[in-house]
Amino acid sequence: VGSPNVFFEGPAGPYPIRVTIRPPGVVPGRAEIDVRVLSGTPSRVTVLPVRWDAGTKGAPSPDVAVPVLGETNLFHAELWLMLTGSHSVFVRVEGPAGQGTTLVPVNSVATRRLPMTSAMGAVLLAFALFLVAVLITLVGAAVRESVLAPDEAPSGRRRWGARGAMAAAVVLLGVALTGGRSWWNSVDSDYRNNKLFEPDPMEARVRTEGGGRVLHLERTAARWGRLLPEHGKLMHAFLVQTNGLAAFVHLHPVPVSGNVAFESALPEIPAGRYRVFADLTHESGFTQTLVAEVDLPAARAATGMERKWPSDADDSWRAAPALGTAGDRQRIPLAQGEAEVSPIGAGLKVCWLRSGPLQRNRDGSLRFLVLDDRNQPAPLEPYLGMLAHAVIQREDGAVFTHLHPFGNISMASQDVFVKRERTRKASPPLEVVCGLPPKENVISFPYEFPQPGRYRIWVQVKIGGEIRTGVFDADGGVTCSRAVPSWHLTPAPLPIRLPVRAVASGCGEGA
Amino acid sequence: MLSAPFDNWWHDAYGLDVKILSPPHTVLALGMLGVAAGVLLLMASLQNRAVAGDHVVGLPFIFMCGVMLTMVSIFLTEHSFPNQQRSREFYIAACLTYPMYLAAAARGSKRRWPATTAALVYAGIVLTMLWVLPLFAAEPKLAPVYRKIDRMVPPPFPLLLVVPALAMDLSLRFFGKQRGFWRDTLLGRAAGIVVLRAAPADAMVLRGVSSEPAGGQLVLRRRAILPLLLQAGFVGARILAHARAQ
Repeated sequence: VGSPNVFFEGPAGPYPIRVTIRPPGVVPGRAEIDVRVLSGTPSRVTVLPVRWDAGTKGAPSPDVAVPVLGETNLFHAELWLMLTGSHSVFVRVEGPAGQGTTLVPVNSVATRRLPMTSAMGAVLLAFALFLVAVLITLVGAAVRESVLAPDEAPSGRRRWGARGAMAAAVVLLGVALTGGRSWWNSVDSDYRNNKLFEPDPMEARVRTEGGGRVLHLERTAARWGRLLPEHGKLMHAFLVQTNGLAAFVHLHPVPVSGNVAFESALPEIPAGRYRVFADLTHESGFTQTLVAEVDLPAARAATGMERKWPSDADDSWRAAPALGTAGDRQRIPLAQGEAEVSPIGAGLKVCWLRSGPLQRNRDGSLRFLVLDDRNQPAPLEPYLGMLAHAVIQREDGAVFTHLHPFGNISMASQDVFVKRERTRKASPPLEVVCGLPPKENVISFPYEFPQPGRYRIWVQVKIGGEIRTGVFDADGGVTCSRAVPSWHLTPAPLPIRLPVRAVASGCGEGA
Repeated sequence: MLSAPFDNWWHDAYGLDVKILSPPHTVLALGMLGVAAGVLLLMASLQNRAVAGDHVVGLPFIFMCGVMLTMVSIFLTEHSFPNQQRSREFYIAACLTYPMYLAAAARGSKRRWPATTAALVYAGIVLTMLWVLPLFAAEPKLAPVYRKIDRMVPPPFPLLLVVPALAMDLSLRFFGKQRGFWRDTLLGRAAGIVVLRAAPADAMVLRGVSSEPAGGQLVLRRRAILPLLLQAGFVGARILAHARAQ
C-alpha cells in the first residue's frame, strides 16, 4: 500500500545480489531496475521481463544492464512492462565465478494519476492558440491570393471570400477542438475508472462469540483469480489501531466460505478503530493488499463459549505506547554503533542499528540484532519460513508494507514462475530463494521509504517457540531531501539518463 | 513539434499509447498533414505558373496527393486491416478521408487521369514497403511475445483506391474540368458514393452507425453520417478547385 517499489536480496548462482525495481506507475511504462552485486566480480548482468502467461518462451532477448559509473558492481537497466498483471524480472549475473539466474516477481499495474502542471498547461495552451491563429490566417491567405500572379491585388470578391473562409475555419476548428477535448476526457475517465489499479474491495466485521471477538473478512469482489498459499497461509492479515498505531495483530484468518470469507479469533487488544491490511497471492503470481477498517468492541467476560485465540499457531500480537510517545524505548551502545532497543520479554530485546536519518527514496536498509539478557545474539527459529518479518506503516495508513530479509516480494509468486519454467526443457536452473544468510547475526531488510512522514516498524521473530514483536518508531520521521535520490546521484551511464522520475517524484507532493 | 512534449506527458500520465490514433498522435498527424498540405500547395503553384504544354511540371502535385493518401492510410491502419473492412469504423474513416484527397487530386491537377495516378502512387508506396521491409531481419523487443517474428512487418496490401479514382476521373471527363459549384458537388458525391459502394456491406454500415456511440469517439448518428460522407469529396474538390488556375 503506497509502497510500489520492489526490493529483493538473494543469490543469483554464486553472486549475492540486491535488486530494486521501481515500477513505472502506468501501463505500459518503463520500470527502472538496479542490480547491486554484493560480492564478486561480475562481468555482465542481464534483465528480462517475463509475463506469467507467456513465460520465458514469450520473452524477448534480455536487456544488458549497464554498470553505473562511479559505483562498484551497481548495474542499471530499464524494462518496458507492456501489459497489466503479474510479471517477473529474470536477473542473470555472469562472471569468473560462474553464472546464475534469479527472478523477482513484480506487479505491473497503473497506480498513479499525473496531474498536468499549470506551467505545462499554459505552454500547451499558448502553442495551441498560436497554431489555431496561424491556421486561420493561412486559410484566409489561401482563398484571398493563392492563385493570383505576384503583385496582383486581390479583388473585393476574393477578400470577402477569404473572410467567409476564415469564419468557417473558426467554426470548424472550434468543433475539432471540442471533439479533441471530449476525446481526451473520455481517455482520462477510462483510465481512472478502468485502468487505475484498486485492490479488490473487502469488508471487515467483528462479531462477539461468547465473550470473545471474531474478525470476519469478506472479499466482495474477486478480480484476480484463485488464491495461492503464501508460507502455507491463504491470507496474511494485519490489524493496526488507527489511533497512534498502538496495538498490532498479525493474523492468518481461516477461509470459511470458499476463499471469499475468512475468520479469525482476536486477542485481548483494546477496543477502538483498526485498519486491516490483508495480503493475498493469486495463482498468476499477482499479489495485492486489501484494505478495510473495522470498529472493535470491548471484550466481555469469558463465558467458555468463545473461539480460542489464536486461531492459527502463527498468529501474534503486540500492544505498545502510541506513536510519538517515548514509551519503553531506550538506546544502548553496541559494537556496530548506538542502537535503539525494544524489549520483547524474557530479557530478550530487538536492537535497531540505525545509520543516519531516514530519508525518502534513499537506501534505507533496516538492520536489526536480537540479543538475549547477556547481550549475546539470541538463536532465532524460522517463523513462517523466514528468519524475521518486518511490518512498516505510516501514521495515516497511506503506506504499509510487509518485509522479509529477502525483500518484499512474494515467495509463492516466485514459486509460480519457477515451476512454470521448470516445465520447459531449455530453462535456466532456477530456485526459490529465501534471501542471504545473515552476517554477524544482523537481520537486514532491504527497503526505501517511499513517502516522508512518521512511521512505526514492527519486527517479528520466533525464539523458543514463541513469536515476539519489537516495536520501533522512525524518530523525527522520514524526511524528504531536496537533493536528487541516491540512484540519480551517480554519474549517468551513456546514453545519458535524465532524472525524470526524480522530478516526477520530487518532494512536496504527498509530504 | 508541439505534439512531442504533449505525447511525452501522455506517456507519463496514461502509459505508452501503443496505438496510432490517440490525442497526442492526432496532434502530430495534423502537423504532418499540414506540412504535406503546404508542399501540395507549393506544387499547385508550380503547376499554375508552368508554360502551356509543359506536362511534367504537374507531376509533383499528383505525387504529393499520393503521398497524402499514403499518410492518411497509415493513420487509419488500425481500422483498415482486412478483417476490419466490414466494420463501421472503417467505412466512416475511409469515406471521410479518401474521397476528399482523390477529389482534390482530380480537381487540382491539370494532367489527365489525375486521381488514378495519385491512387497508383499510394499503391506504389505501400507495395514498395510490402516488398522491401520483409527483407530486413528484426525481432520483437518487448514482452510478452505471443507470436515470434524474425522479419520487419510491412503494412497490409494497399486498398484498391484506384477503382473509385478511375470512376472519378471518368466522371470528370464527362462533367468537364471547368470550375463550378454543381460540378464539384456532383464530383464529390460521386466519389463518396463510389467509395461507399466499393464493398457490399454499406447497409450494415449505416445501421451500425446509429448504435451506441462510444463516449468521446467519433460520435455520428445515422441522420448525420450520410451527408457527411458525401460532403467529404465535395470539400476536397472545392478546396483544390480554387487552388488551380484555369
